[in-house]
Amino acid sequence: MKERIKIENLLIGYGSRANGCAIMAPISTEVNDGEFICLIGENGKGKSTLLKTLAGNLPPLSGEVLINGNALSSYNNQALAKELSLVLTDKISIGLITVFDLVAFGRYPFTNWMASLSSVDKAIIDDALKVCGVEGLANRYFSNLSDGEKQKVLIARAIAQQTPIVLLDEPLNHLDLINKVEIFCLLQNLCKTSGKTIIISTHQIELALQAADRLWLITNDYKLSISSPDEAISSGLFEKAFKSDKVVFDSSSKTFLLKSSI
Amino acid sequence: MLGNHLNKWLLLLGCLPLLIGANIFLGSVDIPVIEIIDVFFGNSTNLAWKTIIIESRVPRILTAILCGAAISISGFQMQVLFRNPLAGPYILGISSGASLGVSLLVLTGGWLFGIHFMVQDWSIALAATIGALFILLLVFAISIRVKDIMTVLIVGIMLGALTTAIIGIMQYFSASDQLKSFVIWTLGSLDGVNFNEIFILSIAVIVGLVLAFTQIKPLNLLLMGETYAKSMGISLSKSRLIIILSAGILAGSVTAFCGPIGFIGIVVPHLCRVWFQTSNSRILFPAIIILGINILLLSDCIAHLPFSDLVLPINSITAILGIPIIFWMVLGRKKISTNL
Repeated sequence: MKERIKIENLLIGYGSRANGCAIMAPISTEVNDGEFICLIGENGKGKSTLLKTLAGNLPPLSGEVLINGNALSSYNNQALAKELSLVLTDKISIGLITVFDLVAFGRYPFTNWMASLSSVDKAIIDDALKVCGVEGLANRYFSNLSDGEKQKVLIARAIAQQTPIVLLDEPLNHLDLINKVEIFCLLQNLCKTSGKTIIISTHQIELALQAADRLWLITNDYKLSISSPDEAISSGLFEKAFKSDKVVFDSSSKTFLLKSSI
Repeated sequence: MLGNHLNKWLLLLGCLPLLIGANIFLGSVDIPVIEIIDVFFGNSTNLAWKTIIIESRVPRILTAILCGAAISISGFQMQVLFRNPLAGPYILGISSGASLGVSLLVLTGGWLFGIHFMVQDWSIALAATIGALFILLLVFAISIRVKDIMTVLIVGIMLGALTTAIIGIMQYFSASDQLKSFVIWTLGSLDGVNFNEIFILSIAVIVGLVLAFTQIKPLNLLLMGETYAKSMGISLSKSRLIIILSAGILAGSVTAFCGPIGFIGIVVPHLCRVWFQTSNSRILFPAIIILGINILLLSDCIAHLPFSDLVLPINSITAILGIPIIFWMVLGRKKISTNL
């Protein structure tokens, strides 16, 4: 398996390099092709900050992110757009743009200044729509879709960008259970079939435990603990990370239970 | 690109020669059609009519074409850049800057520039250009320093308010005839632009439009927000500067020669979005250019009330023509604010 991302002593946070405020302990790890990684942790622990840093939208305070062995900072936007695509959590309001046009935006890093689509581009867009099960929506306006449909279209756009790495920041917010499961399966499949590296931040711990190749868990002492789902359960990480007098993690069923119901 | 909207494109393009023709035929002097054709084939013997057509009506039409295209695209760029349906070509204070330049010239009677009571057309254009460039460079410098685009917008509006305040003081202390000539300039006019000036204007408009065309992709991607745009390979700071520069050149050059032509820059982009039912700038760009030209030609037709000596201010006509269209769109339950 090929190493796609390498993270070396990465210190993330806000502010300048000289006078910054780090929000997590330094991170060192690597990610291989075809890995499906779920980043979990409570609100405000730094999930979005970590993803923003990996996407190159936030400079690290120190340390380095290497993509294909080259420093992230050495990529310009155009080159990075061919390595890494994004699905964000914020809702976008985009007016009169059809689903097809929006997915076609994913081809923009590869088209000329007029954004003319070749027949290859069109085939890639159709394929991305099909993979996400939204081919029937191609001519609808994006703004008229339901939340679940919108999220699938945004993922289709990222797929059309054909990058080896896809980062998703809480893409399952506002969705019902069926849509959450569908999107999770879709992402898991993408890793298996097309060898993409996917890092997704989510609060769906039960789904993450079943689907992820590796878990990135932000612990209470602000460290990134990296393990397989089974290791995470057996080492008792969950009990420690999600400490509350209201819920308890049940390792046999891999779910959280309300203390009042036990 | 053409397939779905073929009849709309045909209508847009078909209106163009009709309106150009109407602008040649209609004017304060009634010239027979045969004579007009003779003028263009060089067979005309009536020198007065020849002069009216070649020296007055043709330059006016060329000016209307350049202004209509420039001002509409400039407004479109500002609306997308700031994601604001109320934005127009003058949102960053470019017309205020031009007005400041012109008011310094006109209201002080030219003594500031040492050309006492020699206020001529070219000096007004020059003063407007300097004023508009001054504000444009200021906004430019700020947008290099400030990352947040909304802050740039607020600063632009503030600069506009500041220059308006300065102009107010000058108006208060100026003589009534100077005041009148300044007010007339602010009402806009497509008349009196000679061929030399049209040549300069057309170079500015072509440069502005070419710059604008290079930003078709960024303008589309900006609809998704800046983070997404960046993730699809757009250099935000570079695109932002090119868009502001291009919109500034377009709006500034028009204002320099014709005064601030109002309303069209805000309305035409909205009309095209509703009519073509898209926010995709690949389709909107040519549509906005042609519709902008058509509407300004139509306004100019009406401004030169046929066969009378009266010439109405073009800004009043664009508003009187445009506002019913907006009302019709709003009452037809077509939401225009969410089309961006």
